[in-house]
Amino acid sequence: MTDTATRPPRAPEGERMAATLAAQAYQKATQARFRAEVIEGGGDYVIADAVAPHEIFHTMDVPVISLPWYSAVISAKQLSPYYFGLMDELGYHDGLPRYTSLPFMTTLANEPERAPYGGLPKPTMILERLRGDYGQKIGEQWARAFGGVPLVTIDNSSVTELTPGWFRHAQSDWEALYEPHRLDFQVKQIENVIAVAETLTHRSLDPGAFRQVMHRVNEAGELVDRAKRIIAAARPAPVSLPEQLTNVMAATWNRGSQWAVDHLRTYCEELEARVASGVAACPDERVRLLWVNNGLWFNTGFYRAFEEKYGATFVWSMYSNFLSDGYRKYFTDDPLRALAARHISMNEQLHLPGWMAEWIIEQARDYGCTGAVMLVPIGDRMSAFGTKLCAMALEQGGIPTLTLTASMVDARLWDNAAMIRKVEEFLEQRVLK
Amino acid sequence: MTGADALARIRAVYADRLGEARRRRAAGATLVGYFLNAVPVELILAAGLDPIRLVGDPARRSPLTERYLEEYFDGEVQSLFGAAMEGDFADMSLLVIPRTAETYLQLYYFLKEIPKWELQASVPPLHLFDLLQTPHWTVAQYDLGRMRALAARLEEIGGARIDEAALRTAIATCNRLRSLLGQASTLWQGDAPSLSGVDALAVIAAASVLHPDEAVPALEALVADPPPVRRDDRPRVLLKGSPQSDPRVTALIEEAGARVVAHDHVAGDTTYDTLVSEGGDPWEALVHHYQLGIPGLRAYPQRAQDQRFLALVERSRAEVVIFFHDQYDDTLGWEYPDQKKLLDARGIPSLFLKQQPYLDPPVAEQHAAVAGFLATLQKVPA
Repeated sequence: MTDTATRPPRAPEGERMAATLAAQAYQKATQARFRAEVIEGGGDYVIADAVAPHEIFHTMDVPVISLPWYSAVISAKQLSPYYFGLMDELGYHDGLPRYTSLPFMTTLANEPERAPYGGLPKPTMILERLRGDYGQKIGEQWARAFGGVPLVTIDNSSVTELTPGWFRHAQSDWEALYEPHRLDFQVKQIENVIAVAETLTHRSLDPGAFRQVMHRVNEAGELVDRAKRIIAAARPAPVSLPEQLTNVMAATWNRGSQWAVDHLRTYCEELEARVASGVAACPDERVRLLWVNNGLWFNTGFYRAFEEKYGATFVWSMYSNFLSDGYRKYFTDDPLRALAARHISMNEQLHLPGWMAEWIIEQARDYGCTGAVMLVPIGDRMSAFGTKLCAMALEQGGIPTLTLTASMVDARLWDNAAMIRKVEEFLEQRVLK
Repeated sequence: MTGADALARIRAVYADRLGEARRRRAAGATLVGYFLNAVPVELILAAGLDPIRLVGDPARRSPLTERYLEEYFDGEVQSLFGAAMEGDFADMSLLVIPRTAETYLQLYYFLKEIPKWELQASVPPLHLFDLLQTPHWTVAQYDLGRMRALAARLEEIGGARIDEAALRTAIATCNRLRSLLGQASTLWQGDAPSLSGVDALAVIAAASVLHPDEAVPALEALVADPPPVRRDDRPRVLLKGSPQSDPRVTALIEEAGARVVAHDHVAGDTTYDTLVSEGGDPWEALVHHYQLGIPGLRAYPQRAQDQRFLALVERSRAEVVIFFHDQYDDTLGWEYPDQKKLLDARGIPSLFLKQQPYLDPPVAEQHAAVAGFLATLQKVPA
């Protein structure tokens, strides 16, 4: 155990990074703008799947509400039990996907006083990327529940070969990695989305502005990579996982903006200053852990529950540097094809056996992690597929792995004491022994 | 061939598809196995190869399934994975997996990955047929490319180069099979049935298990010389939902006191009701058919799918609908509330058996649920 006298200072409880506060303030300002321009002003906005070309709308200055973001907000406000109850009442059985259905339920409930931000008003369009089998089912009904809005879909072609080491090819060598026939198709589909968006909003996509947006996403990715290297090299880590997520996700949701680039640069500088002055998220850091698979949005405090007793701190989740490894797509001539490449295999990289495990093992080595806790989601099997093989690959790579089966969003199904006990036993028996 | 001979042959191959595959392989056929209803068998036939549709077997288990697959996979997909691990598909020169259901897409990736973990696994060569069913022009163009890619792969494994004449012939042959199934359907959908719902599944399946050279005469014989009709006053049931690739659920419903007159799933009556156009470009006709003309989990808009469902309800004169959804269904349940409303508006009672396990199903519980539901029908005054 580290001698108390030589420990670096702990970031005081409740004292967050200035960057974190700035990210939260920006999110609030964005919400205020959404309220003024869309809810009160009746302006255009789009509801979109997370893995969809938001960059088109960002360039056109059309606000985007991301499905999982709104799900996470509903969940964080502890409203998920209410909406799942409504789902039961309406005849949607309790085995149906929960993560993506919460926002739809707020529309069916039609209770602005209860829903976050007063509920979502009628959008200009709903954009669904049809990754699984049911996105179109929810999208059609949701479009109807809004009184009839266009459902625009991007169908999901599938890669035939999983080239090893996707993260080494994904930034510059993506044409072969994602297969040209798929990229051709994806470009056509995005062109269709642009045509619909231009028609409905009476705005035009400025090619020069779009090119700049695409360059800025790459620049943001480079800064996230810089943040990764700072956190990976520092002992102890200068930032907690919840704060990492706040900063990186704010930039991800606002990707392509100058704010995202500036924010991440400030974030990196603050991380460096923290390292220089020895400020730590967990001064008694003894064990670094990976949080594998989706986030636990209704209880992000869980990530820090093992610091005091065990010096065990989560330093990585799949959101930590996916903006770097997954989003960056360098291009010379054709930013639209680069945009097509960005989303075409995004979920596959995070969830398919083979691709998922090899990236996470690489992250464990980079960050110096010696244990992993993996969330296996209930009621969203798309995110559960491949977790067994991933856990086996991590174990084979020398990284003890604990799997926790839980809902990502349904607080009713979470037994906090039992889950803490499981992680504590795992730490005592497999990681700290 | 008499109708009785044909029915006996159909029942035999339905009960033992892998035995039928072994027999044809031993006779020198180059077999192309495939899953679901979305692989264009016309291409396989036009290449001079021998297609056979493969399905799960709830009795076939492999310890490797539990080791590698999450419990959330459809039970039938778990069964297929286990069968592949045990070498059941070793007679296939190629195994074509369509992308028309997410768990089958995942199955493709798992089978690709597994040789790294199980060195002894004898998985046949795999081909992902990336058929998409979104009703858009852009998607049709993509599907055409995937059809051409499948044709090229068939050539690689020894198939003939597919020319337009061969493709037209294959389309006509498969349409003949579809039409014969339409004619045969009166044997289970008619007022005086000569075939049970269980036999109906076998007859529909025969068209995708037997080679057409044998399936066409067998179906012709069955239609020309059907089994004797029998009086049957039991409630007429349409079974809808997850694929019924084996007869267990149909048999359970019939044992509980009903008669299954129609199946609405990817192994049922909606698989043969649309023909491939025989005019125009045959490649485009095939794309149009498989993109828009077949039932599928990902197909939409829902209104079109529901119209097809209601048309089958009317055509089969179903008095009752039983929805049967797989244990980890994440898709059909979104359609159910609206479909129930459609039935309620027509005064058609329905039963919803949701989240039903494929492996080790609670048979007594299922039987009691169906029997209890049927009993409530009898109490309704005429």
